[in-house]
Amino acid sequence: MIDTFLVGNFIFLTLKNAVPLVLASVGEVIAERSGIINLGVEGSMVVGALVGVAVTLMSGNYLLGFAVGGLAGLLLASIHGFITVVFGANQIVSGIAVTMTGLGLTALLGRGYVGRSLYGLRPSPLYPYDVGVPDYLKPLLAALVRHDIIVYLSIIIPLLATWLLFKTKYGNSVRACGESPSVAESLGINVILIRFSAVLLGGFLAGLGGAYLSLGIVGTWVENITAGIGWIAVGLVAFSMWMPVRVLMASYIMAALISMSYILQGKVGVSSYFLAMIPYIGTIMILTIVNVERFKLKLGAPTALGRPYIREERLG
Amino acid sequence: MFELKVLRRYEVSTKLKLTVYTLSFVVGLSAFTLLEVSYGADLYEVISKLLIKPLTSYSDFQVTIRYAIPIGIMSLGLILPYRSGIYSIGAEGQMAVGVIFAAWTAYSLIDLESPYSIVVALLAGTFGGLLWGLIPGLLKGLLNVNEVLITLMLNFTAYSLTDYLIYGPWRSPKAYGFPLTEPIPKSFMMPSYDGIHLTNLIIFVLLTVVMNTVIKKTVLGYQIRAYGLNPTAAYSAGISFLKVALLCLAISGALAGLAGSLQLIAVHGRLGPKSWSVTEGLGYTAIVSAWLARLEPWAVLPSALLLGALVNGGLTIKAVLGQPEGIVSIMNGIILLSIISAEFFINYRLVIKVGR
Repeated sequence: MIDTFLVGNFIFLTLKNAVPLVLASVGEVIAERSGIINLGVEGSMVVGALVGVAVTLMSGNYLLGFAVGGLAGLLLASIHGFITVVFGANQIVSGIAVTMTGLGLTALLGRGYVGRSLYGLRPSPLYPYDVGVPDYLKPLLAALVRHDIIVYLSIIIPLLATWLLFKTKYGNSVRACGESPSVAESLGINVILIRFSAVLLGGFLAGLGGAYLSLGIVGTWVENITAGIGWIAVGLVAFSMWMPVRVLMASYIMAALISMSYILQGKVGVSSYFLAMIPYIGTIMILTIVNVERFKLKLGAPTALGRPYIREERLG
Repeated sequence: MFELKVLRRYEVSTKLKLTVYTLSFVVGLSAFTLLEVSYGADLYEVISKLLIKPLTSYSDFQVTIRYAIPIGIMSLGLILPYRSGIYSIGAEGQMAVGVIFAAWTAYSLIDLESPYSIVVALLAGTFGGLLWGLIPGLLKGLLNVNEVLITLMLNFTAYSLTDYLIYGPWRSPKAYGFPLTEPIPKSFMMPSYDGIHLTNLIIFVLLTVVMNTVIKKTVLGYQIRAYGLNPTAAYSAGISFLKVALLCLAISGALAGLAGSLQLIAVHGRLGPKSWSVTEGLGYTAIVSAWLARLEPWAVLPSALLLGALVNGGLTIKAVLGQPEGIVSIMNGIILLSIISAEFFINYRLVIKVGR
């Protein structure tokens, strides 16, 4: 007999923990498809998490907090966008710097919010009932249906992103900029604008992911709330081969590892500090495995990923 | 009508470079000062505490040096991978592992006599950092796995490892319930002269000379720079990427481990959590210091001193105004952003055309 309560709890946590990862990774896929690596995702997430809590407390509406959290993530990403797209600065260093700034700013501005209760303001389950099911199966059903709206929306986001990237004119332009900005320019695409907007969109989604982390998962603001989730999300992009739909699968695998590190606490004879390493070591292993596969399949990143494009450089 | 044109500069004078770099640093620092002022700090107080006192008052200068040494040693290490186009941000974790290794020797070899004990602790710390650097080195060199993410994940792992030790087996029963370890034995502590750890300083300066030679005068240095300038050409020329990646990341790990063990045996003497930790986030400040030095080993001497002063000043402001640790992180971020933007103004000039 399996312990349905434990399994149900594990599935429930996995679906919830996947939300920030899905949102942030899909955002990063869009940015990287345009040719810009944004390592400021962790920064955008942490800013979104704080602003999400602050706005929810002020307005009493978590959906507003969630949305403004996304905008805050976008605002931070605009720094990265400006410096890398317009100035053509080193994308990796800029992303790291943006994350440092975001982590520091939220530590400073978030002090008044540490531990503030969001009682009654957190996202609530859409369908809190589980009638007509034998008791034994209740936890399993609850794990699937007792979620707030954002959990279900997060499943649609990768599909929307796939449509955006592969079926719209904007998506074609984004991918063109990621493969060859000079060809894109010659086709009349404004590379600067497309890349900048892709970074902003990525930052917005990362901000939303961060806001869900504080509002939906942790339930309060804590300094350094992201604890590497943003970086893990960046790692999932390569694991998903830059495909938004694969992000969903990758996020569930990662979220399962994160949930496992909670669930196992106190149940196995391993210190919680070692269990806390599971997501980090899991990311290292996932990145290693995917690179072994990529070497075999010769699947690659967008060709111009990480390369700055400055129009005046075309001929020189 | 306005028209903004971006024109390439084909000849860049050293004077121009220096001016733009200095300006960009000043812009970054001003932005941080502005933030502090808008947060309610007094402008004069911020400037004096942040930059002037840490460099002019002798007692503050001692603390500045105390920060500058580990920042500088780690920057020297980071320059190697950065020069080869490998972006390690793992100094923080490698430093933490170095601290653990050095502390382990101190706790297990209590009876060792003074000069040997210090040498053993430093070697152990260096080895620990090297091991932590070998992981991304192998993964990058063999499989081209993203080193930014691997090194960062290893930083978090090293933090968890430290937490395990200070909350678990190494926790001192005499620390009034605080998660601190026992102080390491006296024989393992580095002597200081008038508040300055001369040995540490000498190691830093010597390493600067060594790294400058390695980068500029050796075959390895040439190979590293070749990969940084044009990886395809370097690969075609038969330079082993595995060798470059492995050596760059292992050496930078070793230096971070050395910095950590020096900081342990000279300054802290015990392990602790967060604000009492030996690493204090200096591994991240070292990244800023390396870029501020424009990846020139000799320039790390002034840049580490400057960042040592800023960290020292930042922490003073933090204490005086009751702000969180995060302000050093903001300062690092803003300064890093402004110095990498400077590259654009060095390579291009903006021309504003009015009318048509």
